[in-house]
Amino acid sequence: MNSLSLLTGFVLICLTAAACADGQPAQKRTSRLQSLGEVKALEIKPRALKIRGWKTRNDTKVLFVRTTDLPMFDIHVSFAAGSARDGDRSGLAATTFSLLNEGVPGKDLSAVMATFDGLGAQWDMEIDHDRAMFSLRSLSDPAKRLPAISLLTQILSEPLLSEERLAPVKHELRAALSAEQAEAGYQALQRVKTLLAPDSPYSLPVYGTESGLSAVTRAHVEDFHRRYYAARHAQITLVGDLTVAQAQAISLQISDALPTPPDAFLASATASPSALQTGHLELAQQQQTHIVFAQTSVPRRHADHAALYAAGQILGGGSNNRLMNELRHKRGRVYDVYGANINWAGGAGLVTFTLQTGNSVSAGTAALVRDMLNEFLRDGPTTLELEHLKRRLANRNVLDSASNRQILARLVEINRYDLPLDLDYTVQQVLRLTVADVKNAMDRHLSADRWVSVTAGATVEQQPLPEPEAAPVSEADESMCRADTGFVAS
Amino acid sequence: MDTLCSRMLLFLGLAPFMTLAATPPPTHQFTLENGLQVLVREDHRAPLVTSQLWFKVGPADEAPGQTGLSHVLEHMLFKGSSKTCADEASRILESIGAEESAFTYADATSYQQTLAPRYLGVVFELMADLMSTAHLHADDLSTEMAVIREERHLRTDDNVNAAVLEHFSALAHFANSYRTPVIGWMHDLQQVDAGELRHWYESRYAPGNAVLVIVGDVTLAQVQPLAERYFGVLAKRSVPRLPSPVELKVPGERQLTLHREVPAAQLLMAFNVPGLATAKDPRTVHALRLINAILGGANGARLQQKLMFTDRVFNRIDTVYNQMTRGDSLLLLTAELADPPLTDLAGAQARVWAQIDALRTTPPSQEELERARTQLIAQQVYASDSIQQQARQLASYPTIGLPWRLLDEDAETLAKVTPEQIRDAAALWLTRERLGVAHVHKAAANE
Repeated sequence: MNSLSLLTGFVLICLTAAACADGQPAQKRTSRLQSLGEVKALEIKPRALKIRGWKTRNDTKVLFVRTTDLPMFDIHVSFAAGSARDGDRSGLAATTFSLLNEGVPGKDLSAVMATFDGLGAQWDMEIDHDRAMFSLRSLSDPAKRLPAISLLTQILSEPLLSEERLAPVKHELRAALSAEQAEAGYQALQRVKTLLAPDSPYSLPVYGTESGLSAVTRAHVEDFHRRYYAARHAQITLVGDLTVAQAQAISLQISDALPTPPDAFLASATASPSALQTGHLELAQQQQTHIVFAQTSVPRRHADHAALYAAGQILGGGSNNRLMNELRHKRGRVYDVYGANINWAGGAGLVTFTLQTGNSVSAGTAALVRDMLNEFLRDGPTTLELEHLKRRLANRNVLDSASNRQILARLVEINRYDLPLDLDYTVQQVLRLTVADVKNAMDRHLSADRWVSVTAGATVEQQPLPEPEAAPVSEADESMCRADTGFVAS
Repeated sequence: MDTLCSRMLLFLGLAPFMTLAATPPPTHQFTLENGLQVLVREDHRAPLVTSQLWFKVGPADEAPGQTGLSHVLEHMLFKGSSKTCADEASRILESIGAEESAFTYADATSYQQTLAPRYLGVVFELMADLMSTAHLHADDLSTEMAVIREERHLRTDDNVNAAVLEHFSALAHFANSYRTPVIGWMHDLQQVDAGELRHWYESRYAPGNAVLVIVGDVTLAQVQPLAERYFGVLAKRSVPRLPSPVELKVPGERQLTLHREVPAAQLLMAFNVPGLATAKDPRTVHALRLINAILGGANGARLQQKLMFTDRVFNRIDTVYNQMTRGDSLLLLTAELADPPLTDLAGAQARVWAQIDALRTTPPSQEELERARTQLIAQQVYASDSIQQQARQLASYPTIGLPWRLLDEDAETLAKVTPEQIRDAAALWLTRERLGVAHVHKAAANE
């Protein structure tokens, strides 16, 4: 399925009638909402989107979905040119990345920006540890499209990388670094990464370090561009009002212009954790303490990824997950809980749960979160929890292919992680899971003694965590109201 | 740059939007007997629909001492009603796959759900119930107020940029109620009263004070009976008077000096200008939108080109103008000085003034105006990609008492603005006596 020679795959919103029927909401049996009982298993006309994939003659991997309703298109180009490839000069990848749009033959930075503005095009760029990413949203009218694509191609393939712009770019990166370092949440996550990978570029900021940035020269940048902005390591993703021929021409135009060095590609760095598993950052001005729990997980393409994704969702996804129910709905201690699976060294994943609470209850809250995480690792999800998740995902998969932007996001993910050409792939995998599948996957990959946890906030006298105001509801009663003197449920 | 060439491109640029504008998507409007206004826009690209219920109430309507009440109500709506237990509404929406959010804006509160069209009836029944029978129990309120205080810490108190902007907004809006922070002042959040909350709910969530906007893969024939069935049964109630938050004719020049733990010194400037609902002549508003785009609303705008990319006075600089306000608005500039600074805040402000003065005295070139216009028109095309954004745009008109058809006429209106009108609007509105300024100095962490 993942072979690009296969080229196409049909994507249907709701693959089978059975999947639609699975979407019936849990509350149907008990809710007082009349309409829930009346929902017909109406046939949803699936949006038939064809994913086309190809490789250019220089080995750039391209994915494309054609939508013709609006006179616009999106293009996303990415390179394996993230900060994990900095080598000895931390900040080299970010400097190269930032210099790309600072000038091309005939246009300085101002002219580049004014050109995109004048075409009505929207330009965006982003870098992480693994990849440098560039995206352009443009009108599809050739008078707008052609100059926009030409400029994009020049930025990626013919950047001036001038000595003159090197110093300003380093200034910007230093400013971005200090802005990040002013954020407690960023600092906490950074400390987690340091504990997990003390000797790896994954524990260093994407924008580099002060000493690393100082050491970067124009020659280093030019070499980095030649080596890592190579056609064979580029990925192009397109969505919108283009014909297949136009999309292919665009991909060739870009790919043909990119450097094609001999493949001296270095594997991305890996990481081994330190012995320390907890940390605290003292931030005296903070009203809240940020709490992060993290543990390394499996790569995106791993057979257990879907099961661990489901586990993460049940614990910390959506707005009615285990942690939110306990910490927000019952106790009022947090505004939000954020569960994520982020990219990590060696292509692995990093499971994180992040929340913020008042400084005076931070110790009690962190202890409660640890207990809840470990209880979940020990017992696994309940049948009700997994059913709720499946319904939610089966019902919401129509969202993934509704707009060009959403299609692009899914397609970029498919391109990046070399997933099957199916916008609905992860959902379909989750729908097949059993409670035992989730529990077994957690047993294989996660462990109560491998959590790394960090707090970032002000140290104050600790209060015991108050008991929930509302009596906790047992699972069997989940859809019933708690005892309520002011109102009798009908 | 080749001027002739780019001007030609720009004229061509109007074509796609004009095509869209000539055949706007089918849009229907009706009003239920109880006064609820309903807008339905058909967009059949994907089997999806968004339902947005907007109430004309926000912090701009709140009395001193009760700030934050509209946002508290937005939270408390999900804490039980005649047909739902506490938090059940959220669980039901989640299980039917809705992407759901509730938002409090300066003068509106909105509940938005996006999901498969077959569940539209569920959303209607739920929202009709929440807007008419919410419990708002005092014991739930105390738990939820703790959540909201944590939300305020997260969004504002521990976020220096947001805290600075909140502080400055209270000065920039001198004699109008937009000075109230959306989440409310912390001292008011310590003393929210359940009785006052109930009064706010009963007086503001009347059907006649609300607008329901539906965009997606539905027809009028599907939506109208559902709306009648679930919302039509709600009793007609009196509708509150909606005061327009207008500014003094001459608010006067104001300055605020702050010392904060910012990574680099910041300059904020705001001009008191009209919004679409308060402008005597709507052309003023369209000129101001273009002024914003020319001055600092895009990466290729004057302030960015001159003061960020070339002279490197600022690390970042942006301007923003939101014309969709019930009352008067601001043209707001936020900027961060380069570090180490090239000049002090007063010097940086003088550099910005030089750019503003240029706009006040010299009309922009036709080419520069077209560039700004193309951006605004392209943004409208891009907005059509999202049914949620379409619904938000449609809702923004009736919410401030204007006809939604203005949205479909927007490109034509923008096309009529001339370079001279840009200069005249800049000269009239971007004056010192309409200006509020904040200088934010870098404070050490231990101060």
